[in-house]
Amino acid sequence: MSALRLGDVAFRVLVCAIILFLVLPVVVTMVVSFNAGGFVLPPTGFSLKWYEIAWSSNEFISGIQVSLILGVSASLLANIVAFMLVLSIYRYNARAKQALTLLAMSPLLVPMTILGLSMYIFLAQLGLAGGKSALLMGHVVLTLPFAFRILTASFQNYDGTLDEAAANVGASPVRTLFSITLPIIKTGLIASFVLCFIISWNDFALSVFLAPSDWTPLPIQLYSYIKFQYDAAGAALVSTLVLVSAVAIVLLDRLIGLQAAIGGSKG
Amino acid sequence: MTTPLSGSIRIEDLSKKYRDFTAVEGLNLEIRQGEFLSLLGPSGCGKTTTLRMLAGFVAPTEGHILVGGVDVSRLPPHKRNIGLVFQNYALWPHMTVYQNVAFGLKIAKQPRSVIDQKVAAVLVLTNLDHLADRYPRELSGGQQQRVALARAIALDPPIILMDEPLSNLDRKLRVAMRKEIKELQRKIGTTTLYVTHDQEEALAMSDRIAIMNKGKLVRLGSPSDIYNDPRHEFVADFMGDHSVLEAIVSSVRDDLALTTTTSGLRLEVLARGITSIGQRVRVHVRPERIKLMDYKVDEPNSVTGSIGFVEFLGAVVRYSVELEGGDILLAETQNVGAPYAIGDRVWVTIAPSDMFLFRV
Amino acid sequence: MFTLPVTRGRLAFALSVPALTLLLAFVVAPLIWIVRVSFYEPIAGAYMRPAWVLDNYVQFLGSVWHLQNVLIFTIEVAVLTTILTALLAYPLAMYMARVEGWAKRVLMTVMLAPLLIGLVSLSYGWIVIFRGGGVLNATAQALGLIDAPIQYMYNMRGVIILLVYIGVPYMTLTLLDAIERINPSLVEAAKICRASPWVAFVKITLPLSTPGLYAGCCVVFALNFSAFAVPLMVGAPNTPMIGLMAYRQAMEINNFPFAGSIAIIMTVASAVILIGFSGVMNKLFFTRIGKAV
Repeated sequence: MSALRLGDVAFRVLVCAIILFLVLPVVVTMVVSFNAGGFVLPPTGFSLKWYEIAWSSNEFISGIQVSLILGVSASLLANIVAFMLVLSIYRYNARAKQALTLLAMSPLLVPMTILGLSMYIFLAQLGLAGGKSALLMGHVVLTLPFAFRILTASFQNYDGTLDEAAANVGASPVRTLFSITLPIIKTGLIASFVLCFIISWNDFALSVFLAPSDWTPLPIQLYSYIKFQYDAAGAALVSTLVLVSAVAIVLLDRLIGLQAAIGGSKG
Repeated sequence: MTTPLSGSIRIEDLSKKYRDFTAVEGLNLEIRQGEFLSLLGPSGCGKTTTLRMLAGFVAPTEGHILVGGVDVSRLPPHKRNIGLVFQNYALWPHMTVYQNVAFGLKIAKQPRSVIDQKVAAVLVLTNLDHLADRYPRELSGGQQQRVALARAIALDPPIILMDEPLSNLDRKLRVAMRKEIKELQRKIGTTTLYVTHDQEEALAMSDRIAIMNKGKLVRLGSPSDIYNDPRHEFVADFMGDHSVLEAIVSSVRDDLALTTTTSGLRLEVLARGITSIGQRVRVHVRPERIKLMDYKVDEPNSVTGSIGFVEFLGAVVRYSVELEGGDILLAETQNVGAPYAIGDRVWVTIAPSDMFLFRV
Repeated sequence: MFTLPVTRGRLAFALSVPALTLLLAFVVAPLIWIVRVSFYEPIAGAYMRPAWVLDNYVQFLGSVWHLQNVLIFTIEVAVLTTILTALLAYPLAMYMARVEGWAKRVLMTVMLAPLLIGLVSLSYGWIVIFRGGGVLNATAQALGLIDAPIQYMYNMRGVIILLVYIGVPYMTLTLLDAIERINPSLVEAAKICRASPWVAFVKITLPLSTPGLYAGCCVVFALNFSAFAVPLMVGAPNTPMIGLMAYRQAMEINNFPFAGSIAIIMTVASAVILIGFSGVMNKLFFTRIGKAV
């Protein structure tokens, strides 16, 4: 009996250790960002100096601007395109549904390395690499499968007779879409937008191939900063980024549940 | 206000054929202004498809639909001015009762004051005036059903379609709502096409009933016409719980056919055109037309039998009577006096006009 | 739905055009192109000539150094990190399968959070902890435990830590799903036969969750085998991982044909390994569980 209890305790300790492992980098970063002594622990005193340094840096302000514009635009575009595709397949019964669905999910099936590499080489051949629109299109394609997955779920749970009832009282298809369909699937739409935004916001692997040198998103700038500077201002910046992610996580969880948003195994 | 005759419907040679089956075939039907007509039939008979073609959600393969003389067959649903009450009500969850009812009027760009007035009037008509600001999820099934109705009549359409609107309600509510809907229809006088699979509903509410089976119109007539003169075995079967006996026409006298069942029972039935001797027929007997007596009477079709089982249903009592010779008949009597018990001997009498003959 | 079939077909097509164009142009076409380019002939000075030569493949596959130090090495790294990930993910998934309510939601959030926090942020955290001037070393030195910093970052140790870290959420999710799908009455039946929870786990849950383990391993292996961003960020500059090599050849050396051939070799190698893995799993478990893995 006590051997069992011991085993159970050991198991719980192990699980705790694993969870600690999972939260460690984020926690340590945040602690360091508020620590007057920077990297030396235990914390010597509370200080906001790292944040002051970080937020006043021009590079980072521009990085945040780029990431914001990129994230919002890519997410908007991806969601509009994905929604149209969902309508096409599920409302208007497009033929080759499976092929279209497979195509929509294809960016997830290709390893990031190859996705970025092939996109870069292809666009370079066309002389289009290294431009803002290349990066934007890359992000749209990257986030499209996620938007498609969430919007498909919203749509499949949608009661089609609601749209029929609208048509019956005189609403044109466009009017039905905006007055009835979209408001009802609002939650899914917002969740999809948030998810696509945060994926774009965090992206490094694709951006490193496609980003123009004069329009770099925040993760790329952070990367160079980490490589070449050794102060704790980076910690302040990363903490800011993590905060944005945390907001997104909370939003997604409340809207449609985190597990549903990420949707099973990726890749 | 809609003009008279604008609410007449004419369905001409309407068909809907899919790749591997035909839902509706060659339907011809005229519905008069102000009439309450039920489309009745079992599931899969084509009644819902017909309704959806009228509403514009399904495109007909052949044929025409004319509403008030105007061919609407190729118009998209939002251009047809037809009211529709959905089976699942289809109330928009993000809108209040008021907004649900007002939506069509908003689309028609009516001024706010007119909308308010119209909606208020309709809500009073459907007993919903105190619920205008509620959301559908806060309403009971019966209330939701009324909102669906209110929404349909708010636009003052020349015709209203109802797709089995009561099928999701429990029995008592169904009977009550049935009366309400009929009352309402009489009050506003709009032509109504009512789709149902429940023959009791159809009988209770309709001016005329159109019975469909396997995509075709089988019988059209008033409730009493259809009930008393089915003319098709399918209709007879559908409209009640008959006992069916296999028999042969052994002789014909005047308008009566003398039939002999396989177990030797001889019944005199109104021939209604079936006069060939030797013709194999099925004799349908209505349970409530069978008279049960304790003694023999001097009337045609008087036979003895014994009670097989008893079903006490409150207002009526049902018996299964085993006649000498082996045939079994279902009888239904009013609950007056003491019911018979299993094993009791009774005399069964049926009038020749209370049975139907159908060729096999 | 309620549009005429002819209009519906046209509308369906029209609505799918933007997605089709985007995906064909930015995913399918580049993939086809990279296969084509891998047969081009590279010319000195970052140029290439249209051709159908196998030079690039030979350059990689014909070189023992490449084969051993890059291909085999990457396979070793990927296998090692997959195993380590599984060792961490399994207890976590087991535990999460048992808890309910708010504890589960919190754990789920903690477990999934790394997926929504960028690679850069996560790497930074680990760099901060392990780097020469980082938390561990600075604190240890300040405490007098060590004299000089121990290198845990910017070498393979760092790469392995990061790869395992990022793999855990994927693997845990897959495992959790598989464990939760196991019919609880099967475990209860074991307990009725007086099996202790531990025995029930080893004899019932573990074998039945192998499909999840298999799926998780495939995902994590594929991810790690082709990884380039992690080695780029926390590895030594010359880390011989195949994904990184492809990146370098394309972005730094501008040898597109060679980069392309490396990418193709990487894909083929990954596919072969995964197919082989599935074959092995089928042999070992198919007869016992009766379910194709």
